[in-house]
Amino acid sequence: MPLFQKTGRKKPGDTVTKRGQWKSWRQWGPLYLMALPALIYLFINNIMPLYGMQLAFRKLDYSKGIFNGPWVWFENFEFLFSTSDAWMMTRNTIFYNLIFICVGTVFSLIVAIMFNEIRSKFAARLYQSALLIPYFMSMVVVSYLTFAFLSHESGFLNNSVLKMFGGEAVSWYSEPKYWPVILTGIYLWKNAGYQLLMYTARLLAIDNTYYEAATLDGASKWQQIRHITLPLLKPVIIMMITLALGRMFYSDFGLFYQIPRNSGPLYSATTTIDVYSYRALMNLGDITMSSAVGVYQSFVGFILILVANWIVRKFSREHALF
Amino acid sequence: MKKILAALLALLMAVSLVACGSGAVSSQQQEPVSESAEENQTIDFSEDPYEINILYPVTGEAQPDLQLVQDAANEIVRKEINATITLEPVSLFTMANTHALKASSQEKMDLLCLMPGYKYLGNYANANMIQPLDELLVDWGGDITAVLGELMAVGQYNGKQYALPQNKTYGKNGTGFWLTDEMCDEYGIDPSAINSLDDITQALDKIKTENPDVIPLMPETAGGTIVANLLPQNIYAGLLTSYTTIVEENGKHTVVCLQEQKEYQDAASLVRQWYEAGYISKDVSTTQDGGKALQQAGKVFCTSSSSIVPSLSATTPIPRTCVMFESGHPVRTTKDDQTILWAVALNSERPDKCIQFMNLCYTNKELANILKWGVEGIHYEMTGDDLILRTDNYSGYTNNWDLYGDANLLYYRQDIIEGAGSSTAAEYRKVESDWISQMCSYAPYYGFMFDTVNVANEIAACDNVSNEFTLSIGNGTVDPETEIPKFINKLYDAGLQTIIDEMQAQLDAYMAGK
Repeated sequence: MPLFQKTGRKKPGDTVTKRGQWKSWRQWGPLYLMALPALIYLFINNIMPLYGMQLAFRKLDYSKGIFNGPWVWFENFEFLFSTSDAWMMTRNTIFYNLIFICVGTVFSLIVAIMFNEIRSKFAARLYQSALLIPYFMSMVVVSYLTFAFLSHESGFLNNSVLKMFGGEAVSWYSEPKYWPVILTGIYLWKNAGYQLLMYTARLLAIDNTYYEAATLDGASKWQQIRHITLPLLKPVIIMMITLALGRMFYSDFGLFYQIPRNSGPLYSATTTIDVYSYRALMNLGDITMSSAVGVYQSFVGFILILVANWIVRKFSREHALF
Repeated sequence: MKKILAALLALLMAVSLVACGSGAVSSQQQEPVSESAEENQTIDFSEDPYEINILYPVTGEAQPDLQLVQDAANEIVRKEINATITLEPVSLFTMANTHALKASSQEKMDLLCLMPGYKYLGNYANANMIQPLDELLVDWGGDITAVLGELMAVGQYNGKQYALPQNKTYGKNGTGFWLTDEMCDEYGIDPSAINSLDDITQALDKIKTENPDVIPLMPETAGGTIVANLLPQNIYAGLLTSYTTIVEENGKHTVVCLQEQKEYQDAASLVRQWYEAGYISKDVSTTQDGGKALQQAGKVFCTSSSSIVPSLSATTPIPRTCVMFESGHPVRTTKDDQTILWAVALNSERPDKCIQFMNLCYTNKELANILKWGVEGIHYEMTGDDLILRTDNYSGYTNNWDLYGDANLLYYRQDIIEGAGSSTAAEYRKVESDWISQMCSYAPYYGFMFDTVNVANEIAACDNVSNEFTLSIGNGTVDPETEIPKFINKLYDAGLQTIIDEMQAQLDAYMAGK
């Protein structure tokens, strides 16, 4: 059992290895037992549906049961690549994910470190909760909030802010150029609080003596952050980024569909793969074509996470996920 | 781990095998039922009543009184055909997905209402989600065939009867404008003097200058476009997709791209002028409030609409007058009669019972009215011969459309027919039939159906392109001068020519066989 080789002490002879195995089971067994519910959940939710991947390569035929339709291989994928939109939606999906990863990480890191410096525990918790609230809000609600700001006739921006500065009213929902900024802003507002939690959890675990020693040596706040906080946060940052890279081909459907209110002129800036397939297949009810989209996304996502992990391994082996 | 996985996969496969196995068995079981039926043609009352599961579309309203309606209907259904029904509302917007999920998980499902039927009939039949009804109709559907007559043809696909249309009372609505009476009076606009689009423009301008708080023009429904309602009906009727239409050239019917037609481009630039002049709300493409609701709230003066029937115009809840031009007179196509189609799911255990129930819907007046209006005394009161008034509790069961069977069996709402100037149901029926005979015409290619199975990928791609442009061009929020060429280019990139060629070939074949 290669899994347990590291723990058992290496001595020649069968009996000893068996004892070593038993020992490691005793040592690690309870942990596996604790993980069991989650593993079962993972199995039911993530492993079992893999069987359904074959749907993407079959023709839909209910008479024989959906898993027995004739094979059509890549025919179901054609609609994804048949238009010039194929490039546009792939570009948007990757581009937004990259922005979100970069800006999101930097922003929540900065805020997490700033929170760490707040001495009043009450205030720190208050701010943290305030930042977390948007995370629990439904995208449909956020969509209406955004509309209240951006609506052409009655929106806050056009009627109050721009008017105050003497600007022209902007037709926000028909100008794609503003939307990368708007969507990134909304993404940050909504998700920063959650990412922050991850970093804060790690920050709280840093031993205070590091800072005390550094202060005694005359390190400034900035030096403490650079030489203590950031290096200790590095594993979390790398893990979060690698995981995000694996979801590179997915997008938050609510953010890209609800927030722009499905406004046609914005499609070039707001269409991601999920949104495109939703629009194309919403009325068809063709589950084989929708499966094709899912398979395509997971396949590319899988490749991306392997590549990302491979790169991380090259530079610092101990931070790689596997 | 590998072993467990393998075992589980095996289990899954076994389950799916059993599931399809049982499907095959049940279809075998059906044979003796229909055979024995052919011998005696009577309904077996000795067996346990079969429960028919009916999936019908709603727009999302809660239906707290569903059980009451179901019980009332079941009293009749049990007595007549020894079965019971279960009504299951399905949101119109997720209908196809709901059906697909139920069919793939082999959930109980008997009768499906497809709406709009023309969009789904071919897809469902190709995926074997629904079953051919020809033999069942011979055995149990005598009344259906008698009531529908030639209309039966619209439910056919590849020569087989897959679905049953609802029998309509009136032909089709025209396109035009609804004007608020109150504002017409206030600003001295005479609807009867409006005879052209120029007159409409002047009226809109008058409202805009005299009362800047009112939005002069909106499409009647959210997500609708003004351009569509400005198109001449011969073009509007040919819209089998939102980007193709059928025109007559030298006596031959040709499939063309709608956006390349002069009529579409002219309409688009007129709407753009209206938008730029401020007659149309700047939020028109993003708002979720339909123009009709805003008009009722007094915020909109005029709505552009595809539900114009001058002689039948309802004036509730606020008095409105409609304007329809010559080009707005309706042209009826196959699509119009395929709006509501009933089909029997393939995994229904007793398709014979489904057809027996459908047969009842086309003949039993009491049942038809329960399913449409609810229970007498709770949801409505009879006020005269075939006339009803809805009670305050009517919203416990709302059925937005005349879904079931023969709409000629249904009672009329007294408030509506009085609003239209009739006092009895018979009088109203006369106005309806006059409308059909005098105003509605049939398209020369009536009966033609477009089968999308060979171009499903292209349709999915072109629909997406259409989503991007239709609303913004159709309501003037973007400049048609630059956007229409872009629209057309993208359509051809997405495979429009393949769709046009396929549709043309099918149309030629149909016209040749006619």
